[in-house]
Amino acid sequence: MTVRMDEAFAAGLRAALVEHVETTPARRRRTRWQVTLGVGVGVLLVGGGVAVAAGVLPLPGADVVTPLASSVTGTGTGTGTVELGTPPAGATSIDIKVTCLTAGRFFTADGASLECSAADAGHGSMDWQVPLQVGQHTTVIRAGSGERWRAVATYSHVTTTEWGINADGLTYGIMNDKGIPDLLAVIATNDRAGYVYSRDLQGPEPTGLQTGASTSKPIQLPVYTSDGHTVIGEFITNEAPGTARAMP
Amino acid sequence: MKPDGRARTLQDVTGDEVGEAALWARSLSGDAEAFAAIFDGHRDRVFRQAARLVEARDEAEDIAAAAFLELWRRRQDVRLVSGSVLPWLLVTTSNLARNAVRARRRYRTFLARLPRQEPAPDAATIAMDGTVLGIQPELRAALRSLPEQDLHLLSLVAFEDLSLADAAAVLNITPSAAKSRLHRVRERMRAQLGDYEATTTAPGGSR
Repeated sequence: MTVRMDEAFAAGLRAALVEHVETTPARRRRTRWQVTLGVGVGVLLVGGGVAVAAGVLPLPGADVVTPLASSVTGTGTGTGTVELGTPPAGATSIDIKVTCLTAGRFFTADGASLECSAADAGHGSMDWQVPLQVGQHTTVIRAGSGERWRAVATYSHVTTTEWGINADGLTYGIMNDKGIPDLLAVIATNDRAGYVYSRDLQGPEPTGLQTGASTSKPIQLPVYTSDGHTVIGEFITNEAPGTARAMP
Repeated sequence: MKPDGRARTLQDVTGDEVGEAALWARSLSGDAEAFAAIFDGHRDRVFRQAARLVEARDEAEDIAAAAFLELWRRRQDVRLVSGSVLPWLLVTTSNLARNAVRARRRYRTFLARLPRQEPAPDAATIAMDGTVLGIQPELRAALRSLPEQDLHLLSLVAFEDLSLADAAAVLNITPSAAKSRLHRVRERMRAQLGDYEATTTAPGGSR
């Protein structure tokens, strides 16, 4: 007997999910977020924080965060609020760095979360930009009872840089709110920074679905400079993800 | 990854030959249709996983819906394994099923808007073959009694055919640890259910 989701329910849920996604306010996250495609054999760059490896700051398509005021540091136990004072003109976001001081799960006002084990206490952190609402001068950190945190918050202006366009008219840079450029920034297995064709990351067969069966063999992709022709290394995908982290 | 029939449907939906990693990237940028395409691809497997752990169809539906809402709510934390969100979704589904009451409370308003089938013929099905949603009650009870990681491993590898490496990755354990743990849980299930392998290779049906 094959168990499937009821079609009427599925259709209703699908429509509701679409509405839910469309009505979620956009939020920006700066740096340090990596998509695990080939673990340990190449790093797909999706944020400006790793751009230093590329020797270019920022990478095309990265967010540029300009602080507009002095930082305010707050600490708390459980849910608490950081008071930032009157926002300066031009502020679009609150740039916030949350550090866990104990184990726990810590949420920004817009739902970004940081999960820390006891071993992470004192150094586990996340950087985030919380969109600034009119009249807002505080930001809240939600945490469980007894869970301690430190937040460094700064009024900031955030803009997303444009992707580069090479001589062939192809875009290059990192993934951002606009999508995926033609050439996606990576660090090759030889630690050199460059780009792979984003279409190649989809593998030799367009699959659309991960069926859950054993994965295909690792795929070696050439890593180019932004011209899309000059090969400087290789990037490997679909490696057995023995070190991937994905704990719901 | 290997293509199957639904992969072509997915391409039709998107009008583009894209992999799930690309769909996920588009979802992260707020592309609701890309997120819906991921839902299309995984909804039945997520529902089946919920049905393995709860009896009532509407409860399994609630859990499946909550799993996709969690996928969106926690989208910045999700790590793809072999280019797919499915392992994360299945583990989350199991966790939600284990804590169904709390999950229903969180999404009560959302769930109340969804259309429902007429009262499910579960009673009739039970009368016919003793199962609910195709799952033997004894198996469901045995699954619910498993420690969390054992349940996840068994679900991912034995029921949903994920590779041991992918299951280990999503559970953040080494493949060798996953292998020995899976061996133990299979032994335990066998002891509890008798002819476990013959009857429960893929409870809930194949893909």
